[in-house]
Amino acid sequence: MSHPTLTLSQGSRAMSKSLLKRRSLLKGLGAASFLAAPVFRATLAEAQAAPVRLIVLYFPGGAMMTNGSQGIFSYDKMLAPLAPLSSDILLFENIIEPPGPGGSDLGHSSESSILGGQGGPDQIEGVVFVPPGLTSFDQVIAQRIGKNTRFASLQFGVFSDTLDTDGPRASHIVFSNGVSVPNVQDPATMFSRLFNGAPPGPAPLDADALAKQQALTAKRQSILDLLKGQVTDIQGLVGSAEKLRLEEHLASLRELEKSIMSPGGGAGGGIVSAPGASCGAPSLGAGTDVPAVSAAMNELLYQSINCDATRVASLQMLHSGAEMYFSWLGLNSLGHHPMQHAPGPDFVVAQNWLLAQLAVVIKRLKDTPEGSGSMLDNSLVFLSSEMGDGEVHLNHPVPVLLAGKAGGQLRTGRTFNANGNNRANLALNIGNLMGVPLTNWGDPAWITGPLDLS
Amino acid sequence: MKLGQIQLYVLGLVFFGPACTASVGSPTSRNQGATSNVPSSGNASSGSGSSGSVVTPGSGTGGAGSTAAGGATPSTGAQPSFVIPAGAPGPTALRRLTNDEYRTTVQDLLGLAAPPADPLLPDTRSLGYSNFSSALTVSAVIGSQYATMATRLAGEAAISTLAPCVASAAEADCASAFIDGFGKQVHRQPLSAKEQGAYRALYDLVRTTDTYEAGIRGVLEAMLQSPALLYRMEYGAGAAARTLSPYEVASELSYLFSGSKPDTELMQAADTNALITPVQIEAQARRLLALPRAQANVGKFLEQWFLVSDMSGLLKDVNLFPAFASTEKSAMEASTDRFVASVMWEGDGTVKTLLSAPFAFVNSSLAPVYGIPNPGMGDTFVKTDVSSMGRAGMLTLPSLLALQAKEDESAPVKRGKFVRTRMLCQTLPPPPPNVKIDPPAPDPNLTTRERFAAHSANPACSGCHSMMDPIGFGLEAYDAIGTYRTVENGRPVDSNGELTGTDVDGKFTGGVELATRLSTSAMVRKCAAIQAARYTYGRQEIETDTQLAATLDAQLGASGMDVREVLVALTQSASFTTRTFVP
Repeated sequence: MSHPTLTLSQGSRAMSKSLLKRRSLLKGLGAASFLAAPVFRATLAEAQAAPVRLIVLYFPGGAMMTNGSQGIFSYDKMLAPLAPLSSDILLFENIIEPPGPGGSDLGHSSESSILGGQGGPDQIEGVVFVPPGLTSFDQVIAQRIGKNTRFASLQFGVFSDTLDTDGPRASHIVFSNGVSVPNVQDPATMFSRLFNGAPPGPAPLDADALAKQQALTAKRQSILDLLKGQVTDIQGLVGSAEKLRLEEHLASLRELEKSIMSPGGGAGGGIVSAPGASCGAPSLGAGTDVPAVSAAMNELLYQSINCDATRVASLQMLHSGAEMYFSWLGLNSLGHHPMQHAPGPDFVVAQNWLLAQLAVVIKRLKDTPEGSGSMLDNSLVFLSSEMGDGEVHLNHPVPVLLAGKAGGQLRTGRTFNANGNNRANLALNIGNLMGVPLTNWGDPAWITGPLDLS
Repeated sequence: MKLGQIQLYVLGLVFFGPACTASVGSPTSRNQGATSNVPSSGNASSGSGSSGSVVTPGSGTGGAGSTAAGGATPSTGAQPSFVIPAGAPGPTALRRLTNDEYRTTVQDLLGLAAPPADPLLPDTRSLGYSNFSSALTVSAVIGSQYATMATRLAGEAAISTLAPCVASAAEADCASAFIDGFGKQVHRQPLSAKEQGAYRALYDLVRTTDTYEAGIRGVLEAMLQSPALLYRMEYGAGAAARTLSPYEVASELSYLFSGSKPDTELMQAADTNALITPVQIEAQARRLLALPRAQANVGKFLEQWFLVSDMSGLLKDVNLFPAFASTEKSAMEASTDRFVASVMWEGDGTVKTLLSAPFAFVNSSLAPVYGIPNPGMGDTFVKTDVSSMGRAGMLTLPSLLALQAKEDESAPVKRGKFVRTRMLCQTLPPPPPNVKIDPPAPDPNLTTRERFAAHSANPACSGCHSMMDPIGFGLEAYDAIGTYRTVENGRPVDSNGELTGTDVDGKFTGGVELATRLSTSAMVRKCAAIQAARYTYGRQEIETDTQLAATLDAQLGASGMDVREVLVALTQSASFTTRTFVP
């Protein structure tokens, strides 16, 4: 497929002459349709604060703690790839993952506790586990702020569905109303989602063409109304769990509705996306191995935020218990999961690689000017793992960090001792920082209130 | 160094031998609610449930052990072939079509030459199956993909064929006729007045600014992504105890055997309320089993059962196995398809034969894997007797062994676990919490078996590993891609193994003996029936399924258990026509 590549300079503030050029370029990217006149963040920032974005980054298997001190994750060993970014990071010590129902830390099905505000369940193989009726906090936030962007949220994955003994197995960190929200693991699919099938551009001036576009919009809206009606009718017939699954179906129809709204056409908009000056469809390599897919997903994730296609995104690297061999690093004797249970230098190399991938995203945001700072200053990155000490499935403590200043609300460049507080409470902090306080959410046995991060 | 020791001290962990306390269990019904999105899906034994389809013993031919080529023996039509004990039916269900089902359905609706290949997010698997209702949803991603696909297909559809309208007819009447007729096929049942009205309003809207054809295309675009198409309802009507509608039963039959919407004959049977009795349902099941589509769909069940349906993500060490990615893997996939099809449709279709058949389909790419020197086969697959080369049935297929292995070596634990969970339907407990796992450093001078000796030597490990390793060690003659070998790392392969906790216990040597032993096991046959229930209903098994498995083994076991008969029998079970509503 052909895709335009932009060579606009970043942070450019020259608006008059290049405005028309950018508008036509961006039209092909679907971004300009949301705006009557494309206003770039460089200018927006002068008028108002840039929107705060939430980016969730996940890696499995935990990180070994520093020699001799329990509870302390520092930048040596596995977190080393993040050391250059330490001034933008708030690193947590002594923060735990709420344990499972038996009171113990059971690891490989506990990915749901990353964003779920509760502990992990008993280990279940071969079946995707989702806490009944629960919505992960990123989705709670996305549902509130998502109407401002083309996609309420986007989920990226790198080989997070793989072959295990009980067959192909998936575990997802994002769920809504007790229904797993699958991620996209194919870069071409995500590229297509972001950059192809773009909504109609600004209203054409020709009366005939305008009439055609309005008819098309009316047809699409009518189709979506019809489908929503049918889904709602089915909801009336089914049980509660399936009602919730159909809620997800309705959400997907509402997202399609957003994409057909045209400022010229008149169905209304309400979307106030503001893409960055360097927003552009990336050139993706054709590689299908793990490093190639990871690089592509990093690029697509960055652009999805940069183009303001969404303000809530998550990236899941592999999945808990993945048997993936890190052969591109020459690690051919044990897969990731066995390495986790026999940790040595090889496992450090593997975890370093995963964290280096995630660090790329943080660094790209840091390197993109925005307003008087960077995109990272106006973002909130939440990075964690489903294990602390993966060898014994120990989840107290677990590695957790926040990166970015959330629009100046968060002080970084330090470590914070949580003194045994839990990661579920940190979700409350994140909700507050994103302007979406989480109420009546998560397991009340563990949710006691936000941490004091001042 | 071991950080663990410091951790143990500081954190006060008590290191104890986990001593897997759970014994190897017999096939359980796994009624735990946490494993499914449907609350208490397993607890279907509500008092108000229907009593199931109790039938009087009949003199039906049963088709047991029949060797009819191309399908099971049709019943005499007077009596049903199976005596199914009463049992509580399963839960009501809303089942999204799998991607294959959607594509084939759309192909049939539009009369296309092939299923459309537009991208769809891969089905999420559950217990190895791609059709579990709890794992399939319409999320934002696939919803968008359905929309794109529907737009394209509607735009390219041959309207003059799908919605012909002669000059003398009123267009509005043609549109209504299309909506009723085509809509019935899309919804797999007649449209309600409300549904007709909504489609009609859509047509009218488009027609005001465009042509008749455009109006029909608009309706088509909506229909091709309609939830009525995307979801199979298995709900019936009523209170807690439900009877499925004839249309719901038609869809059950059709998707199980044909992987697509009901054909004309099935729809007529539903229209005339002729899908009620066990005999009626059995007749349709057998009719569908004789159609060409059944081969692929029964094959799909079997391959998902044995976890060989998808090798696309399988990677092997390129230095050790240079030809795997380029030629051997795809040849293994095709060879597996052919083997399954041959047993099912040219052979007797039994579990016994699936597990013991002495032949394989070999071409020049696979000849080295099978140990056939210079076969001169070219690319064509040739049915070859491989029994003297260490092969017998599914368990020794290179595809299966390669999938149950590591990138560069065999995996006895994985293979042992496979036999336990997939073939014996036994559940293995997970490692106990906080277990200290301290595997020995790999010694490249030893064979795999020798390196794993600590599993049995160390009492902390042996409790669980004794259930898996002795089986997997018996398959050590097959390397990481399933090639038969007699030496490993210069040392002779020791293929001695042992089965415990089964109905065919005892020592064995090598894959042929293991496979042949399992092919005679009643536990394996019952597991086959349980796996068939999972696939038929798209959910974990319930108590009634386990009981049915025992019944079927009693009826079909002596002849090796014909898989097709198992599927026909499932259409006779309570859950096929009745359900319990889960609020």
